[in-house]
Amino acid sequence: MALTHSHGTDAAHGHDHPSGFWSKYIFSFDHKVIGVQYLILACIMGLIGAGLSVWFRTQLAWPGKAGMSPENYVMAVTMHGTIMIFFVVSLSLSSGLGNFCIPLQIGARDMAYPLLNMLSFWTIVPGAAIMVASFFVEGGGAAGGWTSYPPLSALPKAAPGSGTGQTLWLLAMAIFVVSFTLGGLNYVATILNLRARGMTLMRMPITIWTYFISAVLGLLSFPALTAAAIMLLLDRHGGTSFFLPSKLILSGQLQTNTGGTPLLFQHLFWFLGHPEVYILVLPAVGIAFDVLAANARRPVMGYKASVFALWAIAFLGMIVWGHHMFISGMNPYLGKYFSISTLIITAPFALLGVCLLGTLWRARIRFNTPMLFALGLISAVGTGGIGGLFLATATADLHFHDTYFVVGHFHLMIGVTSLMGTFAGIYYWFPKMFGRTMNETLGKLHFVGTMVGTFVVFTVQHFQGMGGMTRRYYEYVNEYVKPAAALNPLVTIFAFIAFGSQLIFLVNFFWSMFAGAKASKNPWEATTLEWTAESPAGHGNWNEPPVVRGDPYRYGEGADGKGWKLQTDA
Amino acid sequence: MSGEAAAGHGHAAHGEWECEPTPFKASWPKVMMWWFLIGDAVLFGSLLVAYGFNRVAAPAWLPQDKVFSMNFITVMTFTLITSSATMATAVAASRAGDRKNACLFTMLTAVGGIAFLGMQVYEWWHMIGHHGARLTVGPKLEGFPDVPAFSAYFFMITGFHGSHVLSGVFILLYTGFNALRGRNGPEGVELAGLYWHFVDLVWVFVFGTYYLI
Amino acid sequence: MADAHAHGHDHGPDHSHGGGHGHAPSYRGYWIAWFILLILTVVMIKIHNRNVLLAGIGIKSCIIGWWFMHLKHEARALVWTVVLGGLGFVLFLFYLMYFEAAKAIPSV
Ligand code: HEM
Ligand SMILES: [Cu+2]
Repeated sequence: MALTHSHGTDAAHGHDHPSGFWSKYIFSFDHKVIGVQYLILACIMGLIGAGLSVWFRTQLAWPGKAGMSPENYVMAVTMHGTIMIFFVVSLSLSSGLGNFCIPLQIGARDMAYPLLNMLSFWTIVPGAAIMVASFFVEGGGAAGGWTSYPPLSALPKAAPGSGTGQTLWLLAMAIFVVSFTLGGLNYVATILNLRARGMTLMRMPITIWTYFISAVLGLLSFPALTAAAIMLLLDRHGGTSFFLPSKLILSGQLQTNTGGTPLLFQHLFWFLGHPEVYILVLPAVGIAFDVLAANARRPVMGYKASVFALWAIAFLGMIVWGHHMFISGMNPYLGKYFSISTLIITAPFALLGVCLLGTLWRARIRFNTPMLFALGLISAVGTGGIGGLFLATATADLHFHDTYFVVGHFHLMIGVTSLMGTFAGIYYWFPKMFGRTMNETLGKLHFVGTMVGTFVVFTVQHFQGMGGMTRRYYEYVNEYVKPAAALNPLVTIFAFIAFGSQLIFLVNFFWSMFAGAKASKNPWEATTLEWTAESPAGHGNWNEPPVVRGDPYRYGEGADGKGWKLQTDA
Repeated sequence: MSGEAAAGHGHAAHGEWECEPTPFKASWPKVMMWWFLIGDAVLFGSLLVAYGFNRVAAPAWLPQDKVFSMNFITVMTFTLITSSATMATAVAASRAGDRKNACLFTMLTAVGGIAFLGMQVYEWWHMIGHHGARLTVGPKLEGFPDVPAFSAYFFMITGFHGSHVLSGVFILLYTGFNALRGRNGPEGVELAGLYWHFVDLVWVFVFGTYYLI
Repeated sequence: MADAHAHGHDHGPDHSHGGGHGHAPSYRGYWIAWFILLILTVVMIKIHNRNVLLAGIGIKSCIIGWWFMHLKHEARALVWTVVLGGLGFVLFLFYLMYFEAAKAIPSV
C-alpha cells in the first residue's frame, strides 16, 4: 500500500529529463524507450528467424536446391522456433509493447522499478547474442527442436547440434528466463500498485488485464523450465541420468545412464510450454480489444465476461500441459484428463471470440491499418482454435501429432494471432511512440500480404498434416505422402509473400519514425488514458497526475455531440 | 495514520503522484518480493516434484537414516529454524525503530546461516568422502544396490537450497549493516526477512520429503 | 520518506505488533512459534509414519508463513495468491505426476 513509497525510485531518475544520448536512448530508465528498444531487438531477431524459415521452406519446396544438409535443416527449424517464440514474439509483444503501454494505460509515471526494467533489457541482449552466436560453433546451433527433448538434447554426442550449440542454447534460454522474470515482476507490481487515482481494477483496459495475467502466468510457469534446465545441464555436463533411461544405445554403444526418463523432462517442459503460448497470445487479444473498440466506435462487448474468460483461460492453461504428450507413452488415464480439460478451455476462448465479434455488432468500422490487423487476429484465433479442438481430442491426436497439422495450428496461433496483435499495437501506438503516424498505404499492403500469405501457408499445412506429412523431415520420399508433399511449392511461395510483406513493415517502421506525418495527441479519437499524454509522451508521461473518472471504452457516450469521452472526462 | 493510508489516501510526504489502493495492501517492493518468492517456490517445487516422480518410479531407494546421521540433520534443521526466529525478531525490532536490536538480530541470523552452511559442507563431505557418493554414483551401503538418483537428487536439491542460503547470508550482512546506520527502512529488513523465512520454508519441505519420507 | 518508514509499514488497523514508535515490540510470539517448530521437528523424526510426516510439513510451513512471514497481517488477496500460486500448483503438479510415475520407468 504505502502510497508514499509507490514511487520510491523517483529519486533515482527524478523529474529531470536526461539529456545525453546514452542516458536518453541507450541506458534509459524510461519505460517507453525500453519498450522501443525491445521492439527493435525483436525486429533484428525476427529477420534472422524469418530468414531461417525462408531457407528451410526452399528446401521443402525444391529439395536439394537450398544448399542445405539434413543437419542444417533440423538446426534451422530448431533455431527458427526458439528465436521466434522467445526472442521475437515474447520480446515484441510481451516486453516491447507491454513496457510501452502499461504505465501509459494505467496512469503511472513509469514502471515500479525502472532500474530493474532497464536491467532486464540489458540482460536479454547478451542472451540474444549468445543464441545467434550458437550458429557458428562447431556442430552448429541446437538441433533438438525448440522443445529440446532429451536424449537428443541431453547427450552431447547425440547429434551435431547437441554439443556446444545445445549448451549455448541452454545458456541463452537461462538468460531469457531471468530477464523475463524480472520484467514480469515489474509488470505485476506496477499494475497492482501504481494505477492512477480512479483507475480501479475493473476500469483497466483489457490490454492491461492481459498483460497482468500473462505476467502472472510467466512467473508461475517459467520456474518449471528453469528446474528442467538445471537438470538437463547436470545430465549434459555432470553425467547424471535425470532424463536418461537405462539401456540407451547411441551409435551402437550402450550408455551407462540408468534410472531416468525423458517423460519427466516433457512434463516439466510443457508445464511451462503451454502457459507460455498463452502468455504470447493473450496480450495480442487484449490489444485487439482496444483497437477494435476504438475503430468500431463501440464499447467492448462484455467487458466483465472477457476479464472472466481471460482468468479462466489462464487458470485452465496451467493444468492442460499434457495434451502435448498424448502419444509420448504417458499414462493413458492422464491422457483422458488432459483431453477433457483442454476441450474445456475452448469454452472461455469461444466466449472471448464472441466478445471480440460482438464489439463489431452494427458498428461503423474505420478500416485503418491497426483495425485490419485486429480483424485479421479474430480470424486467426478462430481458425487456429478449430485446429486445437481436433488436437485436444486424444484419439484424433494419435494421427495428427507431429504432423503439419500441428504446425499449421500453432503457427496460426502463435505466428499469426500474436504477430497480428503486435502489428495492430505497433500501428496503433506508433503516434504515441514517435509523434508520427505510419504510412497507411504501406500498412495496408503489409496487411494484405501478411493475411493472404500466412493463411494460405498455415491452412494448407493442416491438410498436408492430415495427408500424413510429418514435421521436421528434410525431404518426403515415401509414396503415400507424395500427394501431400506436392503442395509444398505452393506453401513456400506464399511463405515468401508473407516474408516479403514483413520487409514492407520494416521499411515503413523505420521510415515513419523520422518522416511520417506528424500526429496529434489523440489521432484515433480513442478513450483510454495513454491518449491524454503528449505524442510522443515525455519522460514521466504526464505533468499532472491523471485522474480517471470512467470506464475504459466510453464510445457512444457524451452529450456534446462528440460521441466519445476520454477516461479522464467527467 | 495507518488506517488512513490503508484507505488509499496517501499523505503528502511524497505528494505529487497518488495511486489507487492496491489489492495486496502492500508496497510495490513487497509485492515484487512476494511474487518472486512464489516463482521460486514453484522452482523448488518443480525440483521436488521431479524427485518425487523419480522416487515413486524407482525400483529401489536407500534408507536415509543409514546414509545420514539423523541427529545431525536435526541440528541443521534447528539451526535454520532458530535463525528464522531471530530474523522475525529483527524485523519486529526494526519496525519498532530499534536499530540496534534490528542489526544485532539480523547479524545473528546471518551467523545461523553460516553455521548451517558449514554443516551442509560437512554433509557433502560425509557423502563424498565417507560414502563414496558422486553425482553419478549413489552412496555405498552394505547390502543395498547402487542408486545413482539418490546422489543426483541429493546434490542438486541441497546444492540449490544451499546457494539460496549463501545468497541469503550476503543479503543479511548487507541489510544488517544498513540497519545499523539507519540507511534502510523497516522495509529493507522485512524484505530480507521474507527471503530468509522462505529459505527456511523450503528446507521444511526438503527435510520432510528428501530426508524423512 | 524516511519518517514515513519509521512509522512502520501500513498493515491496516489490525496490525498489532511492533507497530508504533517506541512501543516495546513483542518478540514472544516468534519464540513460541520457534518452540513449536522444534517440537514438530523432533516428532517428525521420531515417529516413522508418513501421515504424521506430511501433517508435520504442512503445519510447519503454515507456522513459518503465517507468523514469521506475516501472512497473518497481509491482505487476503495476497494470502490466497501465495497459497494457490506457490503451493496449490505444485501439489497439483505432484498429484498428476504421481499417476505418471507409478508406471513411467520400467524396472531394470
Ligand atoms: C482453443 C485452444 C487451443 C487448443 C484446444 C489447443 C490444443 C493443442 C494441442 C492438443 C496441441 C498438441 C498437438 C500435438 O502436438 O499433437 C497443441 C499444440 C500447440 N499449440 Fe495449441 N491449442 C489451443 C490454442 C493455442 C494457442 C492460443 C496457442 C499459442 C498462442 C497454441 C500454441 C500451440 C503450440 C505452439 C503447439 C505445438 C508445440 C509443438 O509441438 O511444437 N495453441 N495445441
Ligand atoms: Cu498446449
